[in-house]
Amino acid sequence: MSTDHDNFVEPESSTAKTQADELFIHGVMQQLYQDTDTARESRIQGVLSRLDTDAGIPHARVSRFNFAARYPRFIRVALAAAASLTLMVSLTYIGIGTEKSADATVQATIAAMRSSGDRRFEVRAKLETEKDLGKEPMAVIDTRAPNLMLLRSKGPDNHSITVGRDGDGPWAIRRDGSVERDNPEVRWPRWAMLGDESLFADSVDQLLETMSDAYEIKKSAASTLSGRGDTRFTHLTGTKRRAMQPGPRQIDLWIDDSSKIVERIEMHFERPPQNQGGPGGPGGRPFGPPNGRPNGTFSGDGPDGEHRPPRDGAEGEGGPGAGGERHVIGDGAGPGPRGPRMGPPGRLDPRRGPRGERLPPLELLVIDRVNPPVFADDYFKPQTYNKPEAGVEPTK
Amino acid sequence: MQESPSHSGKEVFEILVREHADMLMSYSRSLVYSSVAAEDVFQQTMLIAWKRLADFDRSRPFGPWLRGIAQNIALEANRRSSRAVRSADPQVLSELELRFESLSHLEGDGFRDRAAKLTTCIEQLPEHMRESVNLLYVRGMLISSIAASLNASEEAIKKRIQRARQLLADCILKQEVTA
Repeated sequence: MSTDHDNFVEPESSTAKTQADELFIHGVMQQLYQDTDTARESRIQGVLSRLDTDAGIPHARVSRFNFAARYPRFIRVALAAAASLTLMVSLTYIGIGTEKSADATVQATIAAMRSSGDRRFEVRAKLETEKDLGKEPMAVIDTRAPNLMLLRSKGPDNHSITVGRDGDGPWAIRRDGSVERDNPEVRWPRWAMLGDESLFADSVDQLLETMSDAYEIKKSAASTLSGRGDTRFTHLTGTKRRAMQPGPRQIDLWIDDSSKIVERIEMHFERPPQNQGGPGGPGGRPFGPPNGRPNGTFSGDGPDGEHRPPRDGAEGEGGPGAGGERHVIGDGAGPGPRGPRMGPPGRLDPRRGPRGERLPPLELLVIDRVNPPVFADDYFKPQTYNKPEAGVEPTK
Repeated sequence: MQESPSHSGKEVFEILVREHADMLMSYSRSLVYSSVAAEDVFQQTMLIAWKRLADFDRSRPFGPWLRGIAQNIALEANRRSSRAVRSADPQVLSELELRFESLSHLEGDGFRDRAAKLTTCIEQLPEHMRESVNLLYVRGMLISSIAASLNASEEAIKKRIQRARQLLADCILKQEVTA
């Protein structure tokens, strides 16, 4: 949402009354249309969780009266002042002020990302052997609301991946142009999966929730972003709490201070330990589902050159062709996209490309928000995209 | 604020927090520019309210007391960092308080229920204003995108928004009289 600060429409500065009218309506409208139950509950829990621990807060009226009865006023004032001073020094020293601010930022961002609004994100990746991020995005993700998203990408053999979510749930377009509703997740790019959920749509806000649990979040100095002029963005850095847990080593977020929308996400992966593959191994699934389920490629196809079979009888597609090197996103260890859930690495090792060549690990994944086009009303409907690819016969 | 004998102070306070959360967050959004600052104002206000609960005059409504705390926090933040609040003019703040007070007197079950009366008011707006308001507040689009999609200048869109907000305020505050 971009309805305040740079996108905030200042009131007409004619009279105090009209200014107050406009500020009043602005606050009410924002709360009414851009807040969610989740954000509200999170906000309330944030207060409640701090009642017993924060700022030397007395616990109850009764205790205060008991205290008042036992001590003369000047002693109470002196003790209160001393306690406040001690607490302030302690909080400042241990940096609670900073943490609170970072946490508040994350909570506000989660709320903002869950609010409605047309947004587009571009995904780029950099493998360890590459100098720079690719200029062309590997995928484009459009969202309008938590239940409306569209993700478009290319598979290793350059076939189109079009998946999304609408009011009826997730969907995917098969290569013959038909719509998959029963098991659409098998066609989602692996990097877009977080646990059993999609990384987007449910999505950036879900990533943030995961981040707030599994990462130590610090607020860094506000900074500019390339291509965004002089605008300074709130910069949060999340460092993995436990080295052994899956996921990138570090996640950096740049957030628009006014809208709370994430402008850029950078996920930094570390080189996987050698000879440490296998299910559940460290770094095995940066964003792959648990239990060794497939991950590691930009497409639903396996980097071992074979197609990952859809579950429950979903129709199969051809295997990837050449040029699959760019698509490996896993940082090395862990089961291959087509491998058994608990199988050892080897031929199914995602470090190997479609022809069995060894692939460099992923170093950086960058997600940038860009200005969206105007999305038509049927933009998030699968029927808009259910055309067969060239050379693929539509299902009779 | 009626404290039930069966409730501890914390439980009573939780009820108050839940009852006033939307109102306070809305008020904070009216006060300060940044959403993060609004979240901070909300958190700090509630924590100070808890800390000073014993000082609260129970014969008076809780909402204005919370808004008073929030206003002080926001103005204090504004002293540390200019442009933190949208307006520090005492007259504007006083008028703003009147509007939130008026809203609390509308018929309805809680802040959201009362605020939802705005939906009817939005429907009564002229079409060009209604479109702009929907795109800005409901769809969350940037002013520049709204201008592009409605084939109008950004200035024109801003004027529509300003005028629409004034009409909406008139509309919802009139409902107080008729309610």
